[in-house]
Amino acid sequence: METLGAALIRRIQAHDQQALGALYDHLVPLLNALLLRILGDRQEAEEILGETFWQMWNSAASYDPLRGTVEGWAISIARSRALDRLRARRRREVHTALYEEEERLLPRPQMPLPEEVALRGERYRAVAEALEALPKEQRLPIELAYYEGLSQAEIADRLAQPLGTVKTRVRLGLLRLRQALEPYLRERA
Amino acid sequence: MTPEELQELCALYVLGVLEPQAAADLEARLRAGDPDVVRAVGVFREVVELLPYALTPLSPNPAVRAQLMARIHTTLPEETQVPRTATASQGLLARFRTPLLWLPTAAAALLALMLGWSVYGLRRQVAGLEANLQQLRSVAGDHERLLALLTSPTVQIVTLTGTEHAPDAGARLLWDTQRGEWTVIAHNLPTLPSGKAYQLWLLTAGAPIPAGTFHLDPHRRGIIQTKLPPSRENIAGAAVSLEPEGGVPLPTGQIVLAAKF
Repeated sequence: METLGAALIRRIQAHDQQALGALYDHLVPLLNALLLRILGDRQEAEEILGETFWQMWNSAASYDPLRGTVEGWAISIARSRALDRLRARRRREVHTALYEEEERLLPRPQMPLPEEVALRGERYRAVAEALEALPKEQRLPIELAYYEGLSQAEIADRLAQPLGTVKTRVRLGLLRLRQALEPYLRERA
Repeated sequence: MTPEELQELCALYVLGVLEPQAAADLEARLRAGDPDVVRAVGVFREVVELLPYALTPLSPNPAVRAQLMARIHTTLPEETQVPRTATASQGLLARFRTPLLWLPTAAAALLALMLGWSVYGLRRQVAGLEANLQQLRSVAGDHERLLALLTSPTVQIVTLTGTEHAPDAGARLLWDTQRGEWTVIAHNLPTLPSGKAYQLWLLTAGAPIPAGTFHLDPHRRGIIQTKLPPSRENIAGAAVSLEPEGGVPLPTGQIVLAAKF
């Protein structure tokens, strides 16, 4: 059965503006949370958010369903743009680390809408719990790679662990997550 | 290369942190349809795509949507008018050779132009109404969420009072002891100077913990929500200070709100 994202992207490819609005409403709580987690700044997150959907609108024709879901495509664009911004910020050496040893204290400038709370549903809870259940030494390198875009060498340096150990822990952590989230992978497929 | 080593490369590739040369080599194998690489990348890609679902979904400012739709809207008339203009031009050229038909054609063109302009105006109105609707939904959602917090048996409420720098200001701190979430709703804070933000601090016996920055709405109200690491339970109070945009690791500006627990 065609997913909502796939149905909407077909309409967007035909320049249907309303379809883009619907896709925005469908994905924006997730993408906004991701961008805030990476950038820690609401204004920057919202700027990247707009650019992400603008890029999706302009390059919808190049979307290839064989390479992943629409949600995955959107996440990839948003994350990539946010990490570019984060790296540029680091280069300017004005990045202020606001995280504690293992958890970042995120500003939460807006409350989720009631429907977003409902949207979280089982999948949101399951992913959060699965990630939380990972051993810290597996969870940390995954988070540093995903949310901060650190290279494997930088992760090894940050965690004061040999490179080989970091690689193994990332692999084992992701496999463990996959095992825990198997039902939700099938649901997406 | 062992299967484990290949999996490690694919895991790092999917996370986007593989070194450039290794990533290029892996992509070449992926393009060539190497079944081991295709399978391993697929295995990790599926799970990595789920990672953001661990975060609490949050709505952005409704203006983001309105600006995006307005930006997209500007691209539509050009795209849709190009073929029409070309067709109409060809038709007009032919009809200029038949003077009796020229006047009705011009009238029809004018009518079409007026209709087009009218549709354009309606579209703008709809975009404006959509933005208003989003704003109202956001406000209603905030209110529902606050009501749920205020009536939750696991939420403790603490009052922050304004200091001499903001004597009219006040705030309620809602501490969800079960979820470890802290929500602060401040009111009557002084209007923020340019380049500044208010920053929330959780006070401990040692250094205060920075807990995020926030701005004020037009009614001089501000809301911030923060999740506390489970290991941090010795919070003795909370405070809000005026700091540079983006926040600072330790307070540097005037304290405007404070409370001891």
